[in-house]
Amino acid sequence: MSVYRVVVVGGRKKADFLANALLKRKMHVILINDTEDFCVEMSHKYPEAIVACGDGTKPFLYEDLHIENSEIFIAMMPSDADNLIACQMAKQIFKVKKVFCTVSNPKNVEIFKQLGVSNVISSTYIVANMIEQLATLRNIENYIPIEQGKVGLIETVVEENAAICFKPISEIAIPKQSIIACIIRTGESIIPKGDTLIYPNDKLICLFNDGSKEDLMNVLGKKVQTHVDH
Amino acid sequence: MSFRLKKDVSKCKMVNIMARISNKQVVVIGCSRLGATIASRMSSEGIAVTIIDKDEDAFRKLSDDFSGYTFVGDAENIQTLIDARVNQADLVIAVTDKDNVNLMISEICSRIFKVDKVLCRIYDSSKEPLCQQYNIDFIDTSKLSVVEFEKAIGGCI
Repeated sequence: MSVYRVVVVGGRKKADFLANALLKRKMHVILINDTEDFCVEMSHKYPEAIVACGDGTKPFLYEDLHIENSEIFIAMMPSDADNLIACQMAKQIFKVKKVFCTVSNPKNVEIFKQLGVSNVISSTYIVANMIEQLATLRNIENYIPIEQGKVGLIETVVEENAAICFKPISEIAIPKQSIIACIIRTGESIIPKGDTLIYPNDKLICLFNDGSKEDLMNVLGKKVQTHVDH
Repeated sequence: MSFRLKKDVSKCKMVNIMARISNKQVVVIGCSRLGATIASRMSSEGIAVTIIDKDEDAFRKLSDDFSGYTFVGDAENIQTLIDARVNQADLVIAVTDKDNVNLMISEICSRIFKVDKVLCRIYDSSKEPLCQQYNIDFIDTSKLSVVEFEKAIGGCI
């Protein structure tokens, strides 16, 4: 089996965490960082990884480290422009199979996509979106935005007195563009069909398009709050 | 007869070129020594120039008779580019002090804003393959200096 090579450029705690996780999976890790003391620390901590100190957007560094045809390239430098250029070089010139980058300006997610870097992560955007959803929806245990929040996945528990209790799925007016994908009942998971009944304390996993969120919440008996309770 | 016709056509062309230059909207990004000089010269030729820099102090490098617009903002942020109407420009010149920022701005202007002509300054010649890959028109100032130095040295010998 050939080695699975992953290149991580920039980032401190994120790079450290990622290197640890990737090495546990027996992947070949190449770390590039411009801070010398961080590089020294990493090379002591992960002797099996290759650690290089330098500007992560310089092609000669990529050549020296033989990153060509690597499986994954991850750019996490503070400057969005540096991340874009690093990813484009890795992808177009060094033929890395998959490139990822983080951005500090959420607007750059869409722009980078148009410029050919499709896997862009904006932590600002994701965290802000999660806090907003968790703060405005009652009794939502978990919320996962997909495709920049265009699609959402939620986990919610059915209350004792909810209108949907003891009703089959087919009789519940689930709005268009949303589904109850899974029911968790006493630890067992059920993929529901039209005749599946909903019981109190069932945990529902629902998938919805952003536009149908409020309707879905109303049907499930979860009011969307206009302001947060104190 | 044919001679007169030819003459008229060439006159027309000349007028067209003059009109095109004077109606051009030019945006210079980065009020570096180079950016300020280009913007000042264009402005003195009567071309409408906007110059963007994140540091207001940088505009002191412009010539005293500069009559274009100055715009304070970080050009790494696309909102700054939209606010400064870069998306309506005919010519964009990216001359900030960072190669990667110049490249990113050039890509946004040519591929997203569809600006007719985009020029980009780079210091690091090793970024050339990327420029070629994405059809970015660039001017490699280090390379130009090397050529000039070599010419000068050749002259001495």
